[in-house]
Amino acid sequence: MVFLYDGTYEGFLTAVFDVYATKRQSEALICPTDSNASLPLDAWVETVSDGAKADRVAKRLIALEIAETVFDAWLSREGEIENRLLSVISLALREQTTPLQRLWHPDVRVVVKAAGRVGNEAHRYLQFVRFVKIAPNQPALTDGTETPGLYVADIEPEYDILPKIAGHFARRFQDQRFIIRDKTHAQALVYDTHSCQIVTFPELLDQPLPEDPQFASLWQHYFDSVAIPWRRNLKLQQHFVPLKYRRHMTEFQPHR
Amino acid sequence: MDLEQKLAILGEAARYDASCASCGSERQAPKGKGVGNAYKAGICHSWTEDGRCVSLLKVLMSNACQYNCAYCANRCSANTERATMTPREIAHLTAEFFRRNYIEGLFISSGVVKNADYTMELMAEAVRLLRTEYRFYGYIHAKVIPGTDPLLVQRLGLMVDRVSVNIELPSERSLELLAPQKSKQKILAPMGQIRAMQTQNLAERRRFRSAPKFAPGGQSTQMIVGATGESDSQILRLASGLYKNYELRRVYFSAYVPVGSHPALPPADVKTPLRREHRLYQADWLMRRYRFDVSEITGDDENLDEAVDPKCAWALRHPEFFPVEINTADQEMLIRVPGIGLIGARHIIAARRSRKLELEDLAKLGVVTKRARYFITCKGRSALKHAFPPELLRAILADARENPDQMSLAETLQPQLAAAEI
Repeated sequence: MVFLYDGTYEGFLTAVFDVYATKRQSEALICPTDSNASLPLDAWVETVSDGAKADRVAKRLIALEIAETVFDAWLSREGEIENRLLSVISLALREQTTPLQRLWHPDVRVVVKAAGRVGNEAHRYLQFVRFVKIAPNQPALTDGTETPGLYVADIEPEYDILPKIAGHFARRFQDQRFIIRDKTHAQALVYDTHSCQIVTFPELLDQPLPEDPQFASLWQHYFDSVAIPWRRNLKLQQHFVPLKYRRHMTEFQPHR
Repeated sequence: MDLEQKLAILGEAARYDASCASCGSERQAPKGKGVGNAYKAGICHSWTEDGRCVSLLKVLMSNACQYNCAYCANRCSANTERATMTPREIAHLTAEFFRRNYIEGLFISSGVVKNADYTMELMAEAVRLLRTEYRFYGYIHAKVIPGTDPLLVQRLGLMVDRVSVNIELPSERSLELLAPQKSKQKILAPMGQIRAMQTQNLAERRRFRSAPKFAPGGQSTQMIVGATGESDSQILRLASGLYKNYELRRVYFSAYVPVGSHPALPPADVKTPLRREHRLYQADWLMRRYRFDVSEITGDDENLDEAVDPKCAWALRHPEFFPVEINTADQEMLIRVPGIGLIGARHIIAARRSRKLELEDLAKLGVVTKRARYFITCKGRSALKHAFPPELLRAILADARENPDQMSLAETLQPQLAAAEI
């Protein structure tokens, strides 16, 4: 039996719930509706996303200490990762504990590796996101409310990591408005000093990013000045900052 | 002089400061009342062309130094351009850079302007502005200049995450020779004061949870290696003493770069090999994280083995501890196996709860056995067909990429090697 879901994480968790409701988890497969895998005509059901069901599964995954790994691996969107996840989840349920240390198990290995790739990329973007300030702070008007400045950053991640980094940036820059535009997945993380949202407005995504004249240039010159010329080691530098991230990093842009 | 020129001069002046760590502290701006947080593990934001990370805005308040330490690029007799920033300029730059996610915070140091207290007042003012006016909750590391009034150090410590006093050179004699205005006693005094302040602060925080934290990221120091004749043993013993007696978080080493001529300094064309700095850091790591005692790493007056890393060297000196059985050894012994680190040991310990591990399982756990296989057994089985004589093992373990000379040795031994492999 193939369970089709809408491609959201909530949908995936609902599908896991539905699989267990049939009690035939060993023969079940989970697949997003937009997948182009060929399906048997007769044996599929459509899962309807259900917050309550998804919540129950999510809580269970937390108790089994596999919630973050499952989410990260799911974000990788690698082919048939859903079925690998289903296998890992049933392993965890059977043993009532995390199976993630058993890396000799092929499904565990695939899931842990996929989660690792997503987690690593998310961490890279905690390091490498570079904001451009496009609107200054507006001083307080008569009603005493100050409008915080607006900062925008562009990224081109391989995986859909915006949900992974949203919390970090919202905590860190809680008093500034910011937008992180994910060019690969045509979506943007928008924070308005109260809450985070992921949006897909084309008019927001397509506008070119203006320059940040003063501080970008200060940063570039500072960055060059702290390198020790006789210790130059470009290979080591490239190990830590792979070229693909540099396209949107201020210090690697042509200097003004 | 405009800000851009000043920043370039003072950034360049600070580039030999080794520490750039932004870890060990956790703080969050209260909602709606500030910006920033300190991220426990630290975040590196970029890497410069020399492959060193940039985590903090590492900058001097001023490089117009009154002192004349022979090894320092900013000594008053050096012919270099001088600049001084105002506390407000420093605070403003830090806040603006931070908001663009360039940095985790500030590492402020300075040449001695007028005197120690005057300079520290300037630095403390920059930090105060950041914390109060800019409501900045990110990471701040401040250098303490020997001879500063302890009250000033106390005030600074309550605003920053980490403080450090540079020990500069590994011995009193070298200090006398090269840094006449500094002395061991003058450097160790503030380190001792800082340690006492930390102890007192800990007691206060146990009583009152709301008591402000004094330098929660701890204290660090750095010294220049290769400017004077001390051996690695002396350097590591000094570091070990600092960890034990002053509870330092880190001791940084920086390979001496010829910046001036002085009868007591090595000639201008002699560079301290980076390899030496690297080996010292490896040894330092063993002391801090792998629970090695300094006496296990090095003898009385010798340099570290250049060809193999200190953990390998220890293993080669102590064949009696090997092979280690992967399924039963405790963590302390696992991490002493060359090629198995803290993370590898953690994976092994977690995995062997589920089942007995075979040699083949190690690769699946992400443990690379290229070097470890000479030192381990799994279920009593070794990966080797016969024992290796120590000198052959040493040749195999010497990093061929790092040691071009060793390459040929390993090649000449190739027939023997082939016979010994599985």
